[in-house]
Amino acid sequence: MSATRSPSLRRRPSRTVPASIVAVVLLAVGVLAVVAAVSRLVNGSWPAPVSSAASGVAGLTWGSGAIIAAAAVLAVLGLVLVIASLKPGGHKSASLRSDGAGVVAEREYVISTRALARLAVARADDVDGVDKVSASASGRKVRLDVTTSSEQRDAVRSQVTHAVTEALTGAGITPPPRVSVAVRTREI
Amino acid sequence: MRHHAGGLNRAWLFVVGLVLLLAGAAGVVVATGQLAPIGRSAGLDLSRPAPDSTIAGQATASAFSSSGIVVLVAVVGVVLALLGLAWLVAQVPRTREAHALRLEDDPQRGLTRLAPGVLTEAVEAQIEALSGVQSASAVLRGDARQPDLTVKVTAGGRTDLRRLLDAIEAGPVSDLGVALDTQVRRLGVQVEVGTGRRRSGEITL
Repeated sequence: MSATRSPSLRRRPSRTVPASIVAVVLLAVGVLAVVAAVSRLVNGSWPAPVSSAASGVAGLTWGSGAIIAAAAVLAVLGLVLVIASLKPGGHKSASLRSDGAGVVAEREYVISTRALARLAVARADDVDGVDKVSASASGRKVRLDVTTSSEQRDAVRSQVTHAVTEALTGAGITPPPRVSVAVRTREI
Repeated sequence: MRHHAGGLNRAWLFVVGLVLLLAGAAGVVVATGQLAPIGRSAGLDLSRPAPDSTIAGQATASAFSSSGIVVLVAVVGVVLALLGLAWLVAQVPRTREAHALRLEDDPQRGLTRLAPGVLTEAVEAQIEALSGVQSASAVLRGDARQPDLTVKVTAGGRTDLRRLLDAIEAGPVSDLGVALDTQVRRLGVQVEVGTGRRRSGEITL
């Protein structure tokens, strides 16, 4: 039996949320079916909520608006799940380049996109004129929102862009993400 | 750091999604009266169910009163519930850490069993002692001959990440290789950046 190897650290979304929702729905439908069937076997009749719902649906015609709406909802839901399963989704981390010390056969270094944003914020916060800064990042792009009380908005934008780009490149992030900075002036 | 059920999720989402999509599309085709024209173009007689016929007739009602169908409903319910439960349990991320490492090939001469937690605790302590590191956690996989180490390290915002990664490899990881008398086969490092405003080497005037 081979030993377990580590999964790649640079992974795509594993679709945990839709999978958990569908799993809970399957579980609930299964439990309800078992409870209803056992109740029918023990008492000799289906539970009242089940029989009233079934007779209500059974009385509808195929061409009724409710059936068309239900079928359309079912089809759209199915399409959403198929798209969620096929769409790869963006990476949650970026690669870090490092020559290393040569003591391992194989290496993989990554930085999460959340850490990337925090790194950008920490570096931008060191630039003179920056009052407040927030950032969001994907593997390829970092966007900073800077608030300044300085009238030199263009200069602040240029300095922040340069400082953050230099910091991210210096950290070895590969490929270097594109940095965009939006500057807002705060009234004094 | 951990194993997630990405492949399983995508495969089952595709299957469930396809079933719902086909069922919904079939319902729309029947409800809008397109079933018969489509059947004719394919050379088939698909005149039933018609849009003005009811969803379930007397035959369906009597079928659901037979014991066989009731047992079938119960069995299908159990299968669905077990599938849902198993799928839900699979969402819990798993570390899949190595079992106790055996450090001697010949049991006649004695065998040393080493819990991987002992090694990872030492690696974590060494990494946390490095400059700029706020916290670290490590998982050891593989075996004693081909160890596979994954580390999650949280650093400060002003830490030189390249220098930190080199220091991790040259220090704790190299020491791990020495302890196991082998080369670490694979090293994975996930870097996080701490939110804390605590900054070493900085004062505000």
